[in-house]
Amino acid sequence: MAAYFRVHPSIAMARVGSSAEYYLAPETAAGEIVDQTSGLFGGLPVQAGTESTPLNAEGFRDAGKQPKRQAARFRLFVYEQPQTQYPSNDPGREVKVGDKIDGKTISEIIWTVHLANKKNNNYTITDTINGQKSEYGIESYENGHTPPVRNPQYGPDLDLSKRRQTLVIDAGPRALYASSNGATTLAFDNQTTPSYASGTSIATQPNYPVSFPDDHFTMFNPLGAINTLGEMTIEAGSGRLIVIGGYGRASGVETGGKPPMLCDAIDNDDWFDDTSDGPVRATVVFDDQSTVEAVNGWVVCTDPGYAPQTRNVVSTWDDIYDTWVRDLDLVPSLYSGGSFSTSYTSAFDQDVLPVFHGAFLQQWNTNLPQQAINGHEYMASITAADTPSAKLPSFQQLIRDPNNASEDDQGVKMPLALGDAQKSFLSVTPTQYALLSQWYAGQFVAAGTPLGAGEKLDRVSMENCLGGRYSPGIDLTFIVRDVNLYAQSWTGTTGPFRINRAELEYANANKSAPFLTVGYVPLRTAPVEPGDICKFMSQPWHTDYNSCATHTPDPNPTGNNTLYWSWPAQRPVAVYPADRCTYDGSSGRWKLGGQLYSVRGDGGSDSNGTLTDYPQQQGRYQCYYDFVQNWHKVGFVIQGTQIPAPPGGNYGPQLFLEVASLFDSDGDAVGPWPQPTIDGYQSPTDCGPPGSPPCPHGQD
Amino acid sequence: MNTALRNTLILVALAFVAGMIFWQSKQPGTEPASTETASNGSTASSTPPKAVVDAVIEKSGDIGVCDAKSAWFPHSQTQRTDDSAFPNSSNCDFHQWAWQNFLWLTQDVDGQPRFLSFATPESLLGNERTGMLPRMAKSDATESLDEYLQAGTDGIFVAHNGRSVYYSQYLDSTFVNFVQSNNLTDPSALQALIAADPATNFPIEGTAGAMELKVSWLVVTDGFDASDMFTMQTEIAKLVNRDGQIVIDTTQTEEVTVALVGFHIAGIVKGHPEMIWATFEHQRNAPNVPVTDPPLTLDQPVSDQDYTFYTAGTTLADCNVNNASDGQLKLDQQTQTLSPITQACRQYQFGNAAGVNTINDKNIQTLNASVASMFDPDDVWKNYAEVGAVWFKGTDTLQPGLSIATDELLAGSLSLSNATIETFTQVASTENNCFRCHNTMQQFPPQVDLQPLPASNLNISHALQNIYFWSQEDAQ
Repeated sequence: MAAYFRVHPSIAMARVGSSAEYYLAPETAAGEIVDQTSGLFGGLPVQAGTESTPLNAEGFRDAGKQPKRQAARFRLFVYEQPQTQYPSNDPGREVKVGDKIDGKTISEIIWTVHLANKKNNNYTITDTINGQKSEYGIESYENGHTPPVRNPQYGPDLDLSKRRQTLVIDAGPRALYASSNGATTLAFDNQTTPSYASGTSIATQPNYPVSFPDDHFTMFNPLGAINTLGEMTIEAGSGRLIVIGGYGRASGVETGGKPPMLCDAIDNDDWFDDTSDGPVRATVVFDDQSTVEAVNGWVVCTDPGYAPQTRNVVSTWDDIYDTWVRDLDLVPSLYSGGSFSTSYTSAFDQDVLPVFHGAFLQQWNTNLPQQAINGHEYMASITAADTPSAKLPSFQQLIRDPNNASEDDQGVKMPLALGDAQKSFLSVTPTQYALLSQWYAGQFVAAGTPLGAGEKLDRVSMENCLGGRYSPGIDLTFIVRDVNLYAQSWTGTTGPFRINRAELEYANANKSAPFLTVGYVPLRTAPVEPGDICKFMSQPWHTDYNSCATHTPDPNPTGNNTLYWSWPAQRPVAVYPADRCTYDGSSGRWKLGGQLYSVRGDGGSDSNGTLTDYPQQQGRYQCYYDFVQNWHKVGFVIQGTQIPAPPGGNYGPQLFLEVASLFDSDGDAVGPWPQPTIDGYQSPTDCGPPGSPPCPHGQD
Repeated sequence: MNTALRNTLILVALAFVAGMIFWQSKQPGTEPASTETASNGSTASSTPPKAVVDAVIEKSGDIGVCDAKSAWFPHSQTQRTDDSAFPNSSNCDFHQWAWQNFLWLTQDVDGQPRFLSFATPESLLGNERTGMLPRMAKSDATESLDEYLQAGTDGIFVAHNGRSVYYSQYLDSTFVNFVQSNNLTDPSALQALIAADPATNFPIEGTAGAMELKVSWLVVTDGFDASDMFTMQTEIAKLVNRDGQIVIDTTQTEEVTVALVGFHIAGIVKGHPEMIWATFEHQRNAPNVPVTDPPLTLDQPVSDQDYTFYTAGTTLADCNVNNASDGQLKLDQQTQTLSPITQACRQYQFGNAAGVNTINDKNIQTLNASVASMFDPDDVWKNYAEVGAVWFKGTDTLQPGLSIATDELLAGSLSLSNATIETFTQVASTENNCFRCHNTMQQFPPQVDLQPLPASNLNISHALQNIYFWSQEDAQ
């Protein structure tokens, strides 16, 4: 078989920042100890221009204190055996210009990326089913149903030309030669001519209908106009692709000279943001002028990563893997014929410890009682050498069974966080549960089958993202549970976890007509276009981020008034600022100071914007628009080893502390868990932006 | 040996140590009365909506009037309850059990209340304990002992003189005999007992069911009138600032006068291996959050009167604020005073939200009044009253692995807290009564190198859990 190529990661995450500078997405997994000597956990972004140097406390902001963007780094791998299993029988290897494959030399690699944002020409995340308004996830698309459209004032049909032309931010494609070696940076803006790989070279397409909000509307641009979705360049020396996303802007369509209201946690008509997603293609050009198209990757640009080393107990990887295991026959020895095999051997390092480490790390992003911290630390101390039942008398009592709906609303089982899609509490995926069960039954090995380097990148990229609670979430959302999102025929050259990319004929582009279609819709078979993934996220992202600190479950179990966490690993709630720690000279270790809310505003009660007596509203701005204006001030939670300190050199591996917050107040005092929701809160209606209509129901 | 976290584990069974499904435990044997309607026609007809609620909770014999028994008085003659013959026929029975035992426990014996002669959990392990001194640890590592930390949230309850409120625990002879006769200070013996039968219950020895107590103490300083409280001289360990924490230093003690402000009684009676959990408070402790329509808002004052732990005019928002996590609590080691002080409010006067289980609350109210009328005017214990009690609706329904995370199994005061012992957890449903934390789920240890405690009926007692984990630490 002829060699074939794949772009890795299959899905990579860029993240917005208000700085022109950037760092690289982490290539190690949160929750995984990557340096046994120092105790360093994975998940840290990589310093730009380096192979793997983890970011330290000074690396998150530029000299002007603006948060840097996170860029996605893509590599090209070659494989010489058709894939027949997962992990692949062929681990593959990274290639670059000049490498010889099958007797031919790679003379060039052409990287083509297309970024778009279709959030405004999509359906709402919140839906009403049986009279109940909520976030239902994939259920909203069952039985031919779809939720209401966003921005119905522009027509009821997503396929309307006007909607596709004006409501979609489409930068079009951009292409770069790997040999440009970092000398060229292409912007996904309305000034740069679209381009794409065509044969052995790059073709320009001046007729591509690039579209930005200001092209169609009079915009209210409080953070600057959304006139770019980011840039792409080549990493000098490696030929790898760097994709950098947007600037975290949110803009509204003015009506009568006034900005739109910003009242909803998820769906805000007439608002845009500059997140995006799209395919990443690599065309391999050989010295004989032949070309091979690599299996493409996908880049998604989303919220900042404020706690990159905190692993989610259920990550996006866990949801994707579960979907592939149960629905796409990825590991028949684990799951086939509708059930999990009890003879499958799980791997402690890959299948068990990440769950325990995820739980253990939550303490740094939210308030947990000491007993819970003790319990988490106890679980994280379990090794492959331990007898599971000796460490954990009852697995069933501890872990919520995702296969037993009656456990969905039990606020005592783990994971103890909010669920989604009408599940009150979070559960591990069925595949996670099966793998943990195998461990508990003694059917496990210490270390699993090593992944190929490319496979590892695929997995790590998604391990660093939020799973389990897609309402809609931070990075990706419930669509990762839909097999229609993926190229399902994975054996052979394609491999698993690939987005089902729509073929786009850029040569046919016409400035007078929108190029992109409605695209992917869950539970339908239409392939995925640029902008089809981020469109299921909050519009703008800021409102959902601000809102999702703690809530009561939905549905709320009878009698419950306790607040639980949405996404503390991805959206820190309560943090330990490094500058509140004290140094203990006798032990040579830093000691924690008190906790503060991550989102805590500036100044006192007159201007702070976050302060309230009501626990269910603490740790967030009372008005969404205030977070739009202040999101860039949120600090980052990282391991103490990465935080320089005069005594001891740094804060040590035991602590994960907040650094680089720009908030100057202490906010509300952090109350120890559990905190109740208290009746009587009056949501403000006059939240701005200035001149906007009042919110009829306050901040929903 | 690191004993720093030993006590914090014991205090609550929070959700990480997850448990069985409560509705799986709704076994046959749940009292028929639980499905009957309240029999008191006048009560039911005057408040129809509440009667519906009461019907689920109350027994058929309840009429919302509960009287003290003449045999309880004089206080010097009060007998301990016959727990082997607990009548279990009405809501009133449980509160009478609570009051009778409160009287018996506080009865003067050789110059001090009877309960002060009881063993402490520490003493079963051979550790000396004097007065309010925390258990003596083998190491001098940073301690976070529960004698000054409240259950669950590790909060320090700061009295208005700036002094920490202290806590002490006691076990009756039945409890002690059970531990000693089964050698349960040996962790392997408890493991074996649980392995043999995780549904093993604490016993009733003769007529005395196993009982454990927890008492809260206010350090009395100049200018405070404690004449209506039980007081005594004792030795307490001082608090110090260490490694960024406020901790007990067992090497520094001081002689002080302490006043009893709160009193938990938990005991086994026939049919109730889960124990009846009752609590009493001094009547000047804190105001009740008034029941109003609409409910009091956070910016409204709770009372215009001063209490021992409440300043007149303090708003609801400023009540029961726990500064355990925010780093705002400061200790002046020299004066042993902390700031800010705690403003305490009692969220539910008799342990129930408005409209819930009203007959229970009326029983407590009338019983308190009845008892008060029978005290000798000079008896200091007349200034204490029952806040409430909570137990299982069904008889003999305790089983291993119960989380008791909801009220479905429970009767009596469903949101019961003592304003001086559970000050900070009165509202959140996850910790708003005794059984939220006293359950039968497996328990993880406070240190990673100790063995966990499997699910068992005996886990209902945190005193026994303490002994299990402490004994492992002591063996290290």
